[in-house]
Amino acid sequence: MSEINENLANSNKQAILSIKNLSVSLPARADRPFAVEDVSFELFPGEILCIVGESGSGKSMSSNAVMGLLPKPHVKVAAGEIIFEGRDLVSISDADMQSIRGSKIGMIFQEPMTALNPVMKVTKQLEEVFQSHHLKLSKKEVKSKIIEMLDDVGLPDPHIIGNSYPFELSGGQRQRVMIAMALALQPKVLIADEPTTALDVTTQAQILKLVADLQKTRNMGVIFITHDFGVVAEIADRVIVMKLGKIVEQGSAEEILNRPQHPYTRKLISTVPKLGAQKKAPITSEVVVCVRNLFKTYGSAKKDMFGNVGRVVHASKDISLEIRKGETLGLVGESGSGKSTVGRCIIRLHDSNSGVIDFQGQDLLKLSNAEMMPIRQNIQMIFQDPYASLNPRRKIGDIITEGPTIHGVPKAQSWKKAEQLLEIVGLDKYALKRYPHEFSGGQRQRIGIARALAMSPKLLIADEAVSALDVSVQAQVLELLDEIKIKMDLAMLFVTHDLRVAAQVCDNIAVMKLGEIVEYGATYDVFNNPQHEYTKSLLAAVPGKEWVVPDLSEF
Amino acid sequence: MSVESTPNQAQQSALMAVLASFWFEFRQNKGALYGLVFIGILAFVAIFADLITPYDPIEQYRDVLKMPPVWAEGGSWTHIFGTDALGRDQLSRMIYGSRYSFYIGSIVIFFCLTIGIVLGLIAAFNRGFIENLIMRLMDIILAFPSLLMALALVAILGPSLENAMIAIAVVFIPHFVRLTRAQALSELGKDYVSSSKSMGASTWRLMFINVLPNCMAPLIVQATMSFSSAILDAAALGFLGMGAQPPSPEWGTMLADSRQYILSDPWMMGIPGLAILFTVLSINLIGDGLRDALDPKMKTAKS
Repeated sequence: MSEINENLANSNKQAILSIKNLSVSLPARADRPFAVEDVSFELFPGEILCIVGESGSGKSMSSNAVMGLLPKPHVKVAAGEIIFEGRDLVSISDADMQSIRGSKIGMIFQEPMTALNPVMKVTKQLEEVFQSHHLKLSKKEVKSKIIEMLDDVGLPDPHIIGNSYPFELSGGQRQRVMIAMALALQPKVLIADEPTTALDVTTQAQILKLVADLQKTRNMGVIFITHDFGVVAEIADRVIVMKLGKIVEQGSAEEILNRPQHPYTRKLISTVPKLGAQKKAPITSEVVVCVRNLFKTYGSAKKDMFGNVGRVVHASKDISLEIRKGETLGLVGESGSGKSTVGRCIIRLHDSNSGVIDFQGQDLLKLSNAEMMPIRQNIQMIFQDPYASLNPRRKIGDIITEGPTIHGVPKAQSWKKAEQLLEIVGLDKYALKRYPHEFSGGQRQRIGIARALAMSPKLLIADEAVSALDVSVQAQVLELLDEIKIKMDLAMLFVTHDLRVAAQVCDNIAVMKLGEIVEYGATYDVFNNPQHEYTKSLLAAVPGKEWVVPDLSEF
Repeated sequence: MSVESTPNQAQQSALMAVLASFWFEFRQNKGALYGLVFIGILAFVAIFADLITPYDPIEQYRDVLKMPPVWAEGGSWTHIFGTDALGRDQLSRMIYGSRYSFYIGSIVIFFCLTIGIVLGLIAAFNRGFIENLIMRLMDIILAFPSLLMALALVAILGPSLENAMIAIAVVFIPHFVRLTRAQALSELGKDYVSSSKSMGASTWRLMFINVLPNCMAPLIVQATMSFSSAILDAAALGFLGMGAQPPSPEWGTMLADSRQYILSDPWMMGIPGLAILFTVLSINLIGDGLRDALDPKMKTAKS
């Protein structure tokens, strides 16, 4: 499909949007002079152009420049042209830009909750779009148009949705409303800035399909910004790869994905986790932790002082699992499935309602806090957000040695060990005297791993440990985790929503849905022969599942 | 990470960088800069009061009662700010009065910070009954008009400067408790706290080593602002005869002493009044500047 589309576009049609030698300058104190440097590309009607790159590559900046949404005056277009319908968007007045924005070029954002006004009903926000462009439409016409739009983006019961506030809608519904808003005035170009990054995988699949369908029926040009090569494989006709503000490679999706030329593209694609799991021999070593019939609810059904009955959420319903020495058990599921809760119950950050957590012969749930102390050393956790999981006011050394210090290890000894640990995770020992803000996300995650290892744990719980990282950094951290697991013979509970990552690192997998494990088995079996409907739908929703990641290792 | 820099140098330069960026942000606010200069001069005067005062502040020169300041008609350079109704040198009293202001501000803030932080942290770490108890108590204190509450407390404790300071501290504490609790609650939700917990850190350790340092920025700003309010309230209590007692040269008390001469000799009230005005204004301006510099949300855009 992509090639036909592209040939059509190139031969018969004129570019609808062309960007020539665009440079966007950053303020003087930034880490580089230009956010976007000498970027040129064209967008043709009826195609989806993916701009892909890691964080800080300038992919959002280039599209914001098109929309005139740069945070002036600190960041501004320094050179180049953005030609749209024969006019240069860089030099036109703010008023003219305003009339183009929304009506001819639409945009959707990553986080629909913040992009929608939280105190305005959906219909009202959509009406605003019409009002701000001074269209001579009667109230009635606008109303019927809005209903039609909401219907177009696949929202059931447009009347009910239109009468809701954004917080009453789910993430997918909000994103659909955003899309309806962006497309309200039938723009010729749609810019989508990571529109599915904050969504669950099944919702993401639906939104991707919606964008692709609308693009086809309206023959729009779509600029789709993403960091995820799976998404690229799913919808792109053409791909632009950006690195540090420059375009390193562009071409058809098929070319870039399967025969990348530039070393950076090759590196990025080679770090994309492959979806196919390998068959592994079952692990028969001793069981480190065995969870049986774990129940955990949030909230209580008791009446409060005003007589309101509380809502009970079952975050964990009759969960049973076991992890053996040297095994990585993947706990996968969508947000709200209770996968993180299970991890936190095992480490006793949350109290459980009932059940047994048998850790080397002791039931953790029956222990008092004092009895729990010696066991805490054996179970450690790595957290999702490397920015929130390190105390910003403490030095790395203090952070890593905090655990050992609490357990009475002398300072000199624990600092010595911290130095070794930093070496293991690939940082040099001077880092001990620095503060977290001096490190990048990937480095911080390494520090988080070093902190967990400082206690010499037997069980490591990785709670979405790589979800916040760029794909190439993610690959490094995954490799590090694997190395450590083998070296220290750890048991690992790997909580993740990313099936690609799970397929790559896990020996066994438990699929969770609404607090229950719906499928539990060897990774190979779960991926190749899923039994439960939910697992099947999850696997079907993985973006770019038909794309076989090429083996680029020979270079 | 450059290999050449030793840890110590790195640490120093990191600290320098933090200070430099703080100073850069603070300097952006011209008002704060003027405030800082004024308070700096005032602090100098207060510290070296013994050396710069021309006269003893409570000695009465009975031959020059109610002498106008030097710029008014009938003034003289012997008493630059004139003398009061008992013939005491106004300039000397003003200079010693600045000591009282700093004394009152510091002591009140010290009590507010320590008690406010402890109660706020206890409330944040013990959700439920204890939290409700503390916070509702604070709500009750807040429900009273602050000066009225302070007056009532002084009436119970007996009028003296020390009791006035206690009363003012009690009135101010709820603001600190609420701020600490709110800040601590948002920090408690972050994973670095979960991490410490999972390692078995005691509540004590979580409170004071992990959470508190991350709550300090808004508390410092609040403390600065309250410093000026404390001076103002102490002056008000002094004016009402419930604060510093005569003959101590406290600015509020000076106002009270000269109240009956406001029509005949307005400068007698004017000088301490203006001193209070400028001190409070300066400290508030500094507080604004501190907030700009310490609150990341108000920082100017950086890379």
